[in-house]
Amino acid sequence: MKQINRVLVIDDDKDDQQFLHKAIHDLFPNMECISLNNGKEALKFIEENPPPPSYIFLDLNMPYLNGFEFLKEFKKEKGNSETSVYIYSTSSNPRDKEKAKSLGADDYIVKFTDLTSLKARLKNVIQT
Amino acid sequence: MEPTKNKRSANFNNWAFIVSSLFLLSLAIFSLVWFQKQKEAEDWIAHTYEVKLKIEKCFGLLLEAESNQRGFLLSNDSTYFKNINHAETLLNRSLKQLDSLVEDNEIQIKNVNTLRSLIFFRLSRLHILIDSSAKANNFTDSHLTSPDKVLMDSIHHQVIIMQAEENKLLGQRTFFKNIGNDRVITFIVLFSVISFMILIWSFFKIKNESSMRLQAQMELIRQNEKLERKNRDLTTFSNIASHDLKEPLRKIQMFTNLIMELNPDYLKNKSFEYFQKISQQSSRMQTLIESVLKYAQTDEGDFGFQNTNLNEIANLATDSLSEIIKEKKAVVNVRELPAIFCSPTQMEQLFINLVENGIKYARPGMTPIIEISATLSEETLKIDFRDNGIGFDEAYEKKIFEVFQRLHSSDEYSGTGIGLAICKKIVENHHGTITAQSILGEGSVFSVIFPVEKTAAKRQK
Repeated sequence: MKQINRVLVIDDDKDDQQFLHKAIHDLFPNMECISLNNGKEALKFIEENPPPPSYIFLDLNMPYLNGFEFLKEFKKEKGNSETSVYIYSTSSNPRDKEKAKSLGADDYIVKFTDLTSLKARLKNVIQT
Repeated sequence: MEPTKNKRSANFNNWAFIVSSLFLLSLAIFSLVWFQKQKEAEDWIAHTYEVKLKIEKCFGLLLEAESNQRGFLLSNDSTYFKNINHAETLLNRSLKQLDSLVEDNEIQIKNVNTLRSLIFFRLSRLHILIDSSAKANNFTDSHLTSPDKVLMDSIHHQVIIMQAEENKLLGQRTFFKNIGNDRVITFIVLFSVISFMILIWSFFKIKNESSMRLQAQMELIRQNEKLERKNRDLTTFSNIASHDLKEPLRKIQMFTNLIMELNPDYLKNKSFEYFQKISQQSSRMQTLIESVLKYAQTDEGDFGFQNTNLNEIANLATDSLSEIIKEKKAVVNVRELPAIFCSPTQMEQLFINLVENGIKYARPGMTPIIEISATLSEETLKIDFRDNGIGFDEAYEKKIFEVFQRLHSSDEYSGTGIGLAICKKIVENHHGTITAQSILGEGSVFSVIFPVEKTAAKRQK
């Protein structure tokens, strides 16, 4: 399935959503950026709005369906294989990083506290 | 259980075992020796009878020799003479046997010697009479001469003496055997009963000890579970440190950086909003740290258990919450509650947290109504906190009692995610359980269940 220029930000923290949103919008004004509050909401959105997005930024600690649970469900769908999933979490715990990798995450980004560093990192992972 | 008591009890059991073993061993040895003695006594009795028979046989043989002599003197038939010789040979043999039979008895040795000399004397006189009769070649008077009669009488007398001696011995030996029997049976029975009693006693001691050991084991398992719970809490805390507590700090940094990174024009418009966020996050950080400390202190030290009227506790809790109750126009109905044995400070915290929870998660535009009621059964006391709030999906029933687990973001409903975890800890400190039932959009019931045995719950008079 052909992908579209869409980024999903799945995070229960509104501040983080906005922060990431701003960074992406500054770097790639043409990219459609959609924020969702948890894994459950995200799965529903993806199902209802095909085709799957190009990129997903995924927080780990969320209510209802956390990052790992979402990732497991998301990867079950064959059509989603082209989507790059980046974990975007405050946790720098190596166990979380290992688990994310084993569940098929493309990379693991520890949340930044300044726009400059976040933008530098985003330039490496998003290609247009 | 103290270790010294344990050790002493083990020593007791060892002693009980050793003593009863020694009792049984000595009983076995004693019985063996006794049966041996019994057999010896029987042998001696048989021996006595044998001696008596031999004495009678000797006398009988002498009488036989004498009657044959009479026959010979009357008929001069050589057959009689042969018979005399035969009887003499047998008599000699019998006397010899008698010698060996009585060799253990001084008196009877003397008696046998006397008997022998008397018999020999009588026999020699018998031979003299036969010889003289043969020489004379005529028949003499077959009657005994008076010296021979006297001799015979003294032999008979000697035999009676010897029989009497043996009878005396027989009496002694039989008496000893019978008396011995009775005493030994009493003795064996007594010893068996004592050993048996010691064995039963040690059996109960061991049973008792093993049940005590089982209790100690159970205690150990309980302690282990407590330790595991502490460990889990510790892990949760490290997660908290790495996530939840870092979160507000990260936000503070994030917004400070944003203010500094943005161009001055943008700053003018947005700076107020960002400073506001920084301030919010700082106070949130403070709340979090305070509640974490409260959670950590919940199971520390002495809880100060005492008989507590739960209605008074409910009043204290609503007093503490008066501000939020007023603000949200909440109604708290408290039904009749019992008095229980508990920690009043912890119970107050439990009531505060559960009532506050009910008020905080109210449905928008609805008056929060919280009802507290108690049900006392044989074994348990159940206290229900019923609210008409937003409710939650029952699939998360377990999760909500864990530290820092929240079903809503802090933007929707404020909270630290520690309140219910503290409730759970308080209830566990009182050996109880906490559960929650809910219908999404209709309300929730948080039920606290205490075992009556531990809290000694009594219906309030």
